[in-house]
Amino acid sequence: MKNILNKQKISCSHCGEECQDEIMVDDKTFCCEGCKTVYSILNENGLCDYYRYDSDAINSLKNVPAYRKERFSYLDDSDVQERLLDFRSESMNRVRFHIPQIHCTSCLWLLEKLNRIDGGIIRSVVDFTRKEVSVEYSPSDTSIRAIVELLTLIGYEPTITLDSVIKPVNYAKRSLYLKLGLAGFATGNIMLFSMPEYFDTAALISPHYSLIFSILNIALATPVLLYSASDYWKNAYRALKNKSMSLDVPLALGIITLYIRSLADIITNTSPGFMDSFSGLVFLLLIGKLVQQRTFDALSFERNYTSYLPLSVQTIQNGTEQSRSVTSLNTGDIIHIRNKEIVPADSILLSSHGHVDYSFVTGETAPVEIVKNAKVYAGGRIIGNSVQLMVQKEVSRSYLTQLWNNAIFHKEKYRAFHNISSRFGTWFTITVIILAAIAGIYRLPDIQTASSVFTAVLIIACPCALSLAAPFALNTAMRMMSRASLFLKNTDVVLDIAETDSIVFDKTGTLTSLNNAKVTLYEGTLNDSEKELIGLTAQRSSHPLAQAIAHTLSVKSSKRPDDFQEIIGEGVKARFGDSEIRFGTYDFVGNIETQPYTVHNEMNQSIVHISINGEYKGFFAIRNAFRNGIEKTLQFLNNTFDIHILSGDSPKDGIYLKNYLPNSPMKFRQSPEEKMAYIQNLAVQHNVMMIGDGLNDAAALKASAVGIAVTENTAAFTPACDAILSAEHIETLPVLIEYARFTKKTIIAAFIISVFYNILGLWLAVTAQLTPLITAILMPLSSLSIVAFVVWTLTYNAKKRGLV
Amino acid sequence: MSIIFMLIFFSIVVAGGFLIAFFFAVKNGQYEDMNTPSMRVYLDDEPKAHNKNMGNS
Repeated sequence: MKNILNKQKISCSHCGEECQDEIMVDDKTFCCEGCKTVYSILNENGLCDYYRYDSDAINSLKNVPAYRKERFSYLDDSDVQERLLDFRSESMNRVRFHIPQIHCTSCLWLLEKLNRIDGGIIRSVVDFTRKEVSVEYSPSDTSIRAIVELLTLIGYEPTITLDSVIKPVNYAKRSLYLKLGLAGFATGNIMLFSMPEYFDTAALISPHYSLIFSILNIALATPVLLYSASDYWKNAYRALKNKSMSLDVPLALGIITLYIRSLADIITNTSPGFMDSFSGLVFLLLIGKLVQQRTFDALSFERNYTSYLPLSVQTIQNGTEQSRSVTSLNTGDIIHIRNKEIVPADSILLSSHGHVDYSFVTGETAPVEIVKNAKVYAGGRIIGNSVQLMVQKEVSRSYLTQLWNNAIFHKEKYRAFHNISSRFGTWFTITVIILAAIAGIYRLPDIQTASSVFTAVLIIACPCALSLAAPFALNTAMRMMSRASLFLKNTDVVLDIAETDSIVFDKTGTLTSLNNAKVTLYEGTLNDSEKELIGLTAQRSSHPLAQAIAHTLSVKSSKRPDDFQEIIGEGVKARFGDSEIRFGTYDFVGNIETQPYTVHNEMNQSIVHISINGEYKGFFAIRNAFRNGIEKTLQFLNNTFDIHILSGDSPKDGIYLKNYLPNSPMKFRQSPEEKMAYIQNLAVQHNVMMIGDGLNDAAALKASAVGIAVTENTAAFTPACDAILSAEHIETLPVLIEYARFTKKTIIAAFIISVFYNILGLWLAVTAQLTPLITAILMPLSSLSIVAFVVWTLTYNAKKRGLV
Repeated sequence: MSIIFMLIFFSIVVAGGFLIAFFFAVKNGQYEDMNTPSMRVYLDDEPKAHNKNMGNS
């Protein structure tokens, strides 16, 4: 004991946290068994370099529940293995895990050295952005279960959920890279072979050289036509088949005309052709495509309930525990759910009481207390003591999961971008064809000039600059918005935001934040040492009200209570030496006959009473606070948009909100289906933006034109949505919408400029001045100047608005 | 002047070689993760060495 008192502060050799119970090994100190185990494993295998790279940031194992041997037994099941394995063969299997704990270089280093700890592992490769590790192992030497147990033991427990973690390889993106590479290769080489033509030196070298150059150009351009540009043929064909126009139709028309005209010119020996412009055009268009495909790999916009439900659950059959796949659960099965595990199906509580955190479902972080025979819904996370439950409904038919059977999840959203593109594409194509025909007819007796002018118009009017301007504008806007913590699913969403005219808020969690729960009032007297003890007690409880008190008192001390007890639904008691601290309900804190302070029972505030050694010390009033700046944001938005409030909660906060939103429709106690129906109804006449947070908003988010998920931590939980907004930045929403509108205006401005370029080109074409050299210069120059214009304008504007 | 034929031939072969290398890299999945390899550069591997000094040198 003395020894401990003499030392001031000892930090754990593994995680660097302060040690309270010291465990010594090799003259090193550890804060807990978990940390010691990791150190011993690393030390045995000569992996102590782990501590060199990022020693401050190593995962602490202090709060990890004790490791249970049977927990991963379900991984021995061959069906489960089939789902998890990425690749399977006699000598090598590959499995990919999502490990949310990956956060620093040390993690990367250690996870790629797994083969030193387990000889059966051939290779492990980390994808840092996606927080994934892909492990190749020899199935005769080790197993998935052994690997998962090893990962868990060293503090990197993988998340294994119902939807398999394997992300399919993005073949569309791979093929785009290939197409782009081929087009770039062809462009560079064709330009090289066209040099003599550019500088008019072709006459200086003998004619069979130019013949060879022409043949080479055709040989290089043909794969570009057939492979690199293939998406345009497919899209144009599809558009014509469905009798709907898109910008791809005039593009395809321009590309094919350019190729055929060049081919004809080369064969008839009238000109060296425009093969350089042709492949350059395809190259630039593909760059535009690549830019438009920007996504945030670290975020997921597609999650549904299967991303949260566990793959397996412990069931109790004839008194023994067994792990079973959740999809095989039937009504009447008894399941055992431990601290921090998720309830997979609607069930009834068999244990006497428990706590459930429904934050995945509702976005609300306060745990709910449940008693015996209470209904527990799928998606709830058990907090504290483990509980036994009896399954009432199968997984797919539970209250939450059946939401996904709705037809709304099976259709694609209608995007504003496609709307604009198809409207514009239609009149553009028609105009260009009419113009080309008129120009051709005008010169008609001379068939050769007529056809030359006709094709020249089609080529020069190809909306290349235009189809580059939009992707670059949207990409820039998306990048700028991400700096203000609004992460879009894809570039198309920018225009949907710009079109918004109504905003629907889900109140719970979106507008309020438990982290902001504020102690608004303290009645009573406390001296400093009493404050310290109360603060320390509050720190140890996970109840949000206790957390609010702890936050207000913000005590920094390493003292520990000698005894600590949390009585659910009543309060907390703790003993420090001979003083006993109690806080909670009035009846709980002590047998006090008269209450010396009057409690004004107001809406949306909770009261916590305090007593020390049975003596009443007063109470804290705690208000469920709205997020910072939300009032101002609401008032501001109310001037420009129709605001609706759609909450699953009781109407108690509505009164407060009415002050800011006097005319807004507010609906309370809404089920997920009712929310969805409300949005669908509203979406008939309006472009609706839905702002929500929990899984229960998933259908509403999907039904709206833009579904934005608000989250405290972008790496953590978000339901399927179009955009993720960091909760603390919700007050920038008006600026972000304005910026999206500005982006739309910028694109329109770029369209106008590109039309001017087209008119200039048309004039050159109609007056038959279009030489290969002029085309080769004009085409990339017009495209690049427009790209520079949109990128500069949008970056500058984002700075002006304070987004970056 | 006929040396130009040779030069053209060589330039096409060299450039084509790079194109094939690029195709191989893409198919091999090297463009899937553009972030992690940049971090891996900092890690140096000392085989089985028990590193006693835990400094950051």
